[in-house]
Amino acid sequence: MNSTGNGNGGKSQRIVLGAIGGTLFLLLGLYYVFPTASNQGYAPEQPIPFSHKIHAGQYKIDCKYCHSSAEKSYHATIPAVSTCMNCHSVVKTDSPHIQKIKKAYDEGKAIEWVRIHELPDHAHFPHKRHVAKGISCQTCHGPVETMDVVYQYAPLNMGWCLNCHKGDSAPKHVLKSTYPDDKNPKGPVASVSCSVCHY
Amino acid sequence: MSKPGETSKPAGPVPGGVVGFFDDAHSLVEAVKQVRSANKFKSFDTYTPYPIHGLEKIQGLKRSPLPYVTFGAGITGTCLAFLIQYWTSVIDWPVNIGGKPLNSWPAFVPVMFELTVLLGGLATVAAMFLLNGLPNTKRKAIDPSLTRDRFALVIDAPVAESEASDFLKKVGAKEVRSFMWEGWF
Amino acid sequence: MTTPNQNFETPRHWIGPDELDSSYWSDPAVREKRSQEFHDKPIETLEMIERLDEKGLARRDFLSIMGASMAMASFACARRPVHKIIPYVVQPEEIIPGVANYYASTEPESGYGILVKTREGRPIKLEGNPDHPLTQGKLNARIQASLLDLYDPDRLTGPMGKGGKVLTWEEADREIGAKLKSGKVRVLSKPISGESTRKLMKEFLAKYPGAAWVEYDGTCLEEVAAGQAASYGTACVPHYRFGEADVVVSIGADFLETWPNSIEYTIEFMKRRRLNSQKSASATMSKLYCFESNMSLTGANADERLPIRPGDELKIVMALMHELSSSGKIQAPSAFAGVLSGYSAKAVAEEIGLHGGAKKIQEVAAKLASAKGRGIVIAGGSSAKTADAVAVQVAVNALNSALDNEGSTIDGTTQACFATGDTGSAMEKLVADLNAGQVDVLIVYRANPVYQLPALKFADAMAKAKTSVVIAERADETSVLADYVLADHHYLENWGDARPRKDLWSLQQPVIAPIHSTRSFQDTILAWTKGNASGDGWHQYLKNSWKDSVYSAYGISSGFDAFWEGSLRDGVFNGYAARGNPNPKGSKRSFKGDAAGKIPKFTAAAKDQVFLSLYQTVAMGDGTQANNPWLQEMPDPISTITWDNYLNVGPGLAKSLNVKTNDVVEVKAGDFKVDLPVNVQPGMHDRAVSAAIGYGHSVTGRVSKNCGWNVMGLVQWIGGRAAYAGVPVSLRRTGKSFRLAQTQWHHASENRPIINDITLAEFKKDPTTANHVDPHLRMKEVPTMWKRHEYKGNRWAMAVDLSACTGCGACVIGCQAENNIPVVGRDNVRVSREMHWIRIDRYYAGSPENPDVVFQPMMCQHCENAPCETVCPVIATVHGEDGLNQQIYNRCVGTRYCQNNCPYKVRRFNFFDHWKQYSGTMNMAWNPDVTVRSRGIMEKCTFCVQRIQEGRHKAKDQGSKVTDGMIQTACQQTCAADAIVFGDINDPNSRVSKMAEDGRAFRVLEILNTRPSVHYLSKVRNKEPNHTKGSDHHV
Repeated sequence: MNSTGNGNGGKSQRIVLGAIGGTLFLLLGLYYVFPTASNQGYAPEQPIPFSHKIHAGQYKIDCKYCHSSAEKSYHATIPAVSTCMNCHSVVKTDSPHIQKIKKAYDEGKAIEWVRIHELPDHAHFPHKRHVAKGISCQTCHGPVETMDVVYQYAPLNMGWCLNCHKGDSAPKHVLKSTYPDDKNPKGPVASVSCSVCHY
Repeated sequence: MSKPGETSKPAGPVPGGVVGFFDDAHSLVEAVKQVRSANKFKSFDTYTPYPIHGLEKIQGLKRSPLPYVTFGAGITGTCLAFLIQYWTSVIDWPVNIGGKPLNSWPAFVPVMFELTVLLGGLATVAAMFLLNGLPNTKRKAIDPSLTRDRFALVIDAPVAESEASDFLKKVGAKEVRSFMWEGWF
Repeated sequence: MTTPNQNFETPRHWIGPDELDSSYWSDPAVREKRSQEFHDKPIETLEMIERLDEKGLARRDFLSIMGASMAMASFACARRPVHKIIPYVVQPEEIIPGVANYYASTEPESGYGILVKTREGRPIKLEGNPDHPLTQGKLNARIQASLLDLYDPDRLTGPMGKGGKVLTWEEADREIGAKLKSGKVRVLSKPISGESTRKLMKEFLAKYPGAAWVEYDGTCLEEVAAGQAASYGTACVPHYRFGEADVVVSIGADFLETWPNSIEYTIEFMKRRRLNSQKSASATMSKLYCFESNMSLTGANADERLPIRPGDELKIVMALMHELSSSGKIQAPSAFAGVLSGYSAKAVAEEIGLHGGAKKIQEVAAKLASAKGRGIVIAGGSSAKTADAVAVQVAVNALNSALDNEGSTIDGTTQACFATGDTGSAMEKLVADLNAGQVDVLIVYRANPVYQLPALKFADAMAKAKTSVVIAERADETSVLADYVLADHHYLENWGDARPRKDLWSLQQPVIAPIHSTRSFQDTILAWTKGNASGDGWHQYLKNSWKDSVYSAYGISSGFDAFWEGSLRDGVFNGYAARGNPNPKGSKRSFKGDAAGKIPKFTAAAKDQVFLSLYQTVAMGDGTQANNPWLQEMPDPISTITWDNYLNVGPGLAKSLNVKTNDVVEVKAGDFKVDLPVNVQPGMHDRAVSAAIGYGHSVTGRVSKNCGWNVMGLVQWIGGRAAYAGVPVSLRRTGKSFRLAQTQWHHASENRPIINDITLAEFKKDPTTANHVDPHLRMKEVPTMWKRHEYKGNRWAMAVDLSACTGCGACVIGCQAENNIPVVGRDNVRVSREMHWIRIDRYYAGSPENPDVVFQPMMCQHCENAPCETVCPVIATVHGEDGLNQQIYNRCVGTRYCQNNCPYKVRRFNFFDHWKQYSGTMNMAWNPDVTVRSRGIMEKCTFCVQRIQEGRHKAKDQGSKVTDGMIQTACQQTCAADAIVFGDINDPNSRVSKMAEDGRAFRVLEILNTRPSVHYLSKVRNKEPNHTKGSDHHV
């Protein structure tokens, strides 16, 4: 067509352009609202309603008192029933929940907690390395000492891990200790080589 | 729909101008020459079933900006592709694959080519649409036979209908009538 | 038929005799096959896919389920299924979940000290105990695989009565106890060295006055013990000091692999064969001659190997004695005078048809004479258990005594093993007692006489006992005939001890609570002796026994508890070290003159008669571990055949019989005949065949079912002993064929620059000879198009000394145990789908009648310019900053392009979900640090990246750097010959750096510019250059 064209498509053109723009906006919005298929926010009901708010928050029991393997092993484990009984053999023994614990201890049956923070088998995450670097538990697990019911604070996906490893969201003291001579350290604080985690 | 109190163009038939149909390319070309030399009408256009060599020059059409769009989009594509690959391979996530250098530009070439073609093509299509005033559902076709099997010379509105139709008849149009762009007619 | 290629050059190293024929290379069918990635068209595997469809999901359903799950997973609010996390009730204080605990223990039958790696209360890996003289931190394939026996789902789970009736231990004790009262009891077991068990047995025998205990195993070195008794007065298996021997002559003795104490022998033997290129001019190596009828591992590693017929062993020894005495080098005992003259070197060499003739015998004799006091003549073992085996031993002993080796390199006193059990005559007496109805209760412990010695007709004899009790770990041919079958602990679940030498006390402790309702043999005997059925009985008994036999006897100064804890921690009490000298030499014994009376005169064997020898394979041994899938799938180092036994036939005999590999042949000896597929084995005498024992079980479990053929009927009982070799057999083609699962053709070298070996003389002149001979073998500077990546920090590399590698395959099983490598089964091995990450490639050089053998362990070379990384469409394999070629399982989509591109063919693909076959308790064997791969995932050697990570963590925990030797790959850790060395090549002082700079070092297929991280050191052989046909220009 040999047309000089006058560019005035009129109303219909505007409607179509408007529709395209609206769809894009909607998609962006959805992406914002549903960021990734992660378990962030997962707060399942536990067999015994253990409250970190009371134990870690009010009574300021150190995380590593119960989750003692965190600084020695890849896994920060859930404490054994005997750890609970360390105090609860005498503390608040009238509570029905405590009596459940005592029953489990006496019968030799372990308590089956619902797992919240879980990585797939092909990702090997060493707790002890991160604890040794001085990264606080709250950095990844959130303000656990304020949680009555524990929820998953961080998405725990690979991108989130990499953000810290590459230095973008690393805690300041980790950056400082990795680059002691740098006024404004920005670089990676840990390896991003694949088999550091995937092997 | 216009709101009360708002002045706007009344919805209704929009005159398009006057169209003159010719039998063959030669007569159309002569007619165009005449229209140009007469210099009486502000804008006019031709419709032919096939491209006629030299008609754009005779008609005095300006060069379309489309090639520049294509070129610009193509160059954008090339640079964008290179930048994406360079940034991911060298800066953001360098991976040693088989000892190959990080900036493996020969490997980047196919993607650069593809993105050139893609952006160029998409931009061309989009620009083509926009330059043609599309999408536009209101416009009516002047005549079903146009760009099929008849030659036509259209003198765009606003124009004095009788003057235009007389002129067209004078330059050899076999059939002359006026037409509407929009509205029922 | 194709015409021979005029320009054909015989390849210097070949895999099978076919490669030596030029028409083979130009045969279009062969060329087509070899141009394929795998030697079988995928069409054959459709059967397997269809079989899978029958059992499991049909592909259609699979796709629809996939589609549905894809749709459901796309909902952003979808969560993963609920997982539980279950802690302990009371966490044992020594267990930190995720951290391994190591315990020292012992494998009681062999006396090998092991270190058991346990995770959360279960063992997952065995290593050698570095403090134990017998293992020194190393292990062999069978002990590595014994871990899986613990988790075998076919284990007996509790006591059973006749017909499989389930009993409780109380019922069993009550019923059997009643029957024991009569006192006419016989206990049959393998030789037991553990002093505490022996003490307990003495008490048991004292309680039942008519009882007797027979310790007999047909495959033990009873002829060595009998020979020692005849020659020197005491039955023992001497300790051979290979580390001090310059000349070793082995006559059928596979001391590097199937002999007891083979791990220490390998370590010691290799001490005399380490070569340093920088000091090449003054290099010395020991020399190993091997005369054998079956190609064993020792023969393959010999500097010179000479094939003989089974039954010729005595002739060789006597010929050597004749040579030495007639040349005045030794004084042969006078008692030999009568027969010695008949065994001239000429007569013997001619009669046997020995390669090299009489000259060779003279050469060997001269070598022995030049190394008086520093030589070893050794004979014995399954494939040399001829009818005259004791005579061979007496002759060998006489030779060693005359050569002054006795008391020097041969120790029959201080460090010898005296727990040799009873002779065959004790076994004969047992059978006679049984047949005469003299036995009320027969107790068989971990012995399988019904399978092992059909010549004694034990099954019939056993039926005549009033009650028969079998105490075993899993069902076998003897237990299915028994009245009671009592399930025994696996050795990892039991206390115990072993006394492999007079002053070496090895302690065994359980590393896992009993998985099933089994009870240890010793607790059973305690129950029947003292009526004590409490669980802690044997543990306390053991402690008390050690208090008397060890603690008091050696005058230990510390308190007993400290001593006991220390012994448990070390796993061994070295009495020699306690007495001041950890490795004392023996004292010289005098050879009893009258022993020579056993030597017969020289008689020529029937000229065209074919003789059979029955041998133990590296993987199967005597067959007790036949239900172990790791061992069944382990390619035999010599024949590379898996899953079955076969008849080894030399190329000459194969030609005259007109058989090829896979043809089935009937082997007949007396009344017994068995059909066996043929394996054409280079290096076999024209009149010798051999077959492996330990196969053809039908009742020991699902893995061992239909594996191989039972050849035990060919064992003859002669002169009060079992004769495994020298049996005259007749062979007949059946016309049938059986496709053996042989891996040797899966990775054919096509005469590319992969391996080379040189002689000691060449090495002394120029240690880099091998690299000159094959210029393609070593190209230090291959031009490259771009700048190389820098590897700062640790850069992991490996060096393999081919002169040390014996081909034993311990690395193969060690890797399988460490890295959760699945077993794929015979059908998959046939189509080249075995999953081993490290394989031992075996090459021959020279003539098919008497070739040299070279082994090359081949694992992922972690190439710097890896061809596999370049072609992965999803970047599932990348190169790490530490030099590792990383395989990221979760990214892999199963394109298999990487496997296609790998020139070393070391990548293994999971065509099926093999992990699903680990049923029941077998799932406890997985190493939790290594991802278990599912179907569709490529895998390969990772240089034990989980161990590298562990080592780095350890270093960081300590705040130090990783030191050389801190990180050991699984293959390196278990290699007795120390052939594999792993380390940081960026560290100039590391062992691997030094080995990579060695003159002998080369890399495989270096011309491809893959820049592998694995360096190989050429094999050096202590022999004169071998002029092979057609390859003169190489020498």
